[in-house]
Amino acid sequence: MSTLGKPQHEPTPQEESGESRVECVSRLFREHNRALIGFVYARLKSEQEAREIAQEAYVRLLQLDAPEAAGFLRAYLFRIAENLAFDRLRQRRSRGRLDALLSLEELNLEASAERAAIAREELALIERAVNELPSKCQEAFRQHRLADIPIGDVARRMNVSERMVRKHITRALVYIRLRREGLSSQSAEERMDELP
Amino acid sequence: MNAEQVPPKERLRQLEEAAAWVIRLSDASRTELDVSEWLRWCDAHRGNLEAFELLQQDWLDAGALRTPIKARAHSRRRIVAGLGFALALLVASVCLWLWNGPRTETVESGAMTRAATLPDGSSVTLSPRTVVHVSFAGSQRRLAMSNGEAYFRVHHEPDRKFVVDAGQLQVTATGTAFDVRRDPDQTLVTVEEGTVEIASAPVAQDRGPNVWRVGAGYQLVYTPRTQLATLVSIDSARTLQWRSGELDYVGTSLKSVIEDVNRYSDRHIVLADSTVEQYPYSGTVFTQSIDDWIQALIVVYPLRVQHAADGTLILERTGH
Repeated sequence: MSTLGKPQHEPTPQEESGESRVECVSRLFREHNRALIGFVYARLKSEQEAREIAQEAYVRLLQLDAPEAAGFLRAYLFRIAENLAFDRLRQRRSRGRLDALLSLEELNLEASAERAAIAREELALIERAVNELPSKCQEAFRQHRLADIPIGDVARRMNVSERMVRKHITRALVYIRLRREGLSSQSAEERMDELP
Repeated sequence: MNAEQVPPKERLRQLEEAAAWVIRLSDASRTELDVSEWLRWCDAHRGNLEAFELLQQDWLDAGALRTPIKARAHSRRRIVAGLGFALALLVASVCLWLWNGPRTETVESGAMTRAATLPDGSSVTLSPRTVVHVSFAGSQRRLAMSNGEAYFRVHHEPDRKFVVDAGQLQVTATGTAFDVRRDPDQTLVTVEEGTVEIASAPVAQDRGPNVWRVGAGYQLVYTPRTQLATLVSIDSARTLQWRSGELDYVGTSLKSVIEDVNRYSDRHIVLADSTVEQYPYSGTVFTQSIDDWIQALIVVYPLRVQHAADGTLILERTGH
């Protein structure tokens, strides 16, 4: 178990020694809301919609007749959100052409929302970190993350396997994390060498 | 889990795994199986989920390096129906989306009352779970609101009308202060200052819309189902007290009081039967202390509270 606290075994509604459903869901909200929004965002590519879906997932979780254990609830939470996101995608498809216009707007909204959400210095650090990456690694990361090119296509462009592209992007992400945690470019690079 | 407590090597491996999951789950073609495996991975080791969340944030933040795409000017933006589902535990948010092109924004309240200033200097106060979509692109200042309640203090611009779409009603002003409350079965427009013009959707194809002019101190009550409106003289200061976190009622049915309270509270309250719904209520509800209010309510009325497993409070009649 992670830090999510004591799971209650076979809890019943009468058993109120632990935290209540509402408390448990509140805690899930505090601890995982950002992850949940990111999770839904990956599907919908719209922050606004991801927030809406995340909110609804909590509401549904509150209403759900399910075991109270935190681990279960968390799994349910992500599953509910996944299903809601699917429904939303289906609605979008049936709306057809109008969506093509809207999705362009949302891409712009998305970029500006992301910009607004992150401090200038922090963004500058990420940019520096990306520029410090080895060339192949940087190329894969830029193409997939910043130009939204699917991994398969990046692999063809770079003439390497998909597995290799994933590895490059994975390493890029770990490197950015190490740099954000305060490591110098030199020590971050040294740490990266420890990876297989 | 504190990063420093994990051996460096293990932490590095954890970050690598987490990064691989972020990439896998970011793929729009992820499957149910991916999600199941990811959830299993989250529970497999202490700190896995925390590592995932960190890297996911990095992933999202890095997206800000993307150069914005030039889109065609296009001012429509969906207001997704049913935005009313926010929880009180959600931090209230005012989302202002601005981009080049026509000025279109969405102002949204979460679980609390929110005030926002609009591009023309007008101000809007939203009751909880209310969304207002703002479009000031053309010769009019257009706004569309969801269910909920919004108070508008309109900056005077004689040449540019301020138009609020609230379902079947359209409220037009040039410079005045008014309040629109949109419930599923009723829309109320309360005028605090000046005069507004209210038009309903056309009753029949061959007939135009009904139009009413409503002055300060009056409230128009419109029922979409019957398409009828009544005009009542009211104490607007009293009606608009919700802005300060107080809800004030005189002889209002308990049903509509509970509808209000549900918007302000993370507790969902349900009335057990129609007799209870029709109990008249007079008094003030302080939105910060809903629980105390319920305790008082069951003393005054022949009611008792049932706590449902999901946290819902059910108010039912005693001794029947």
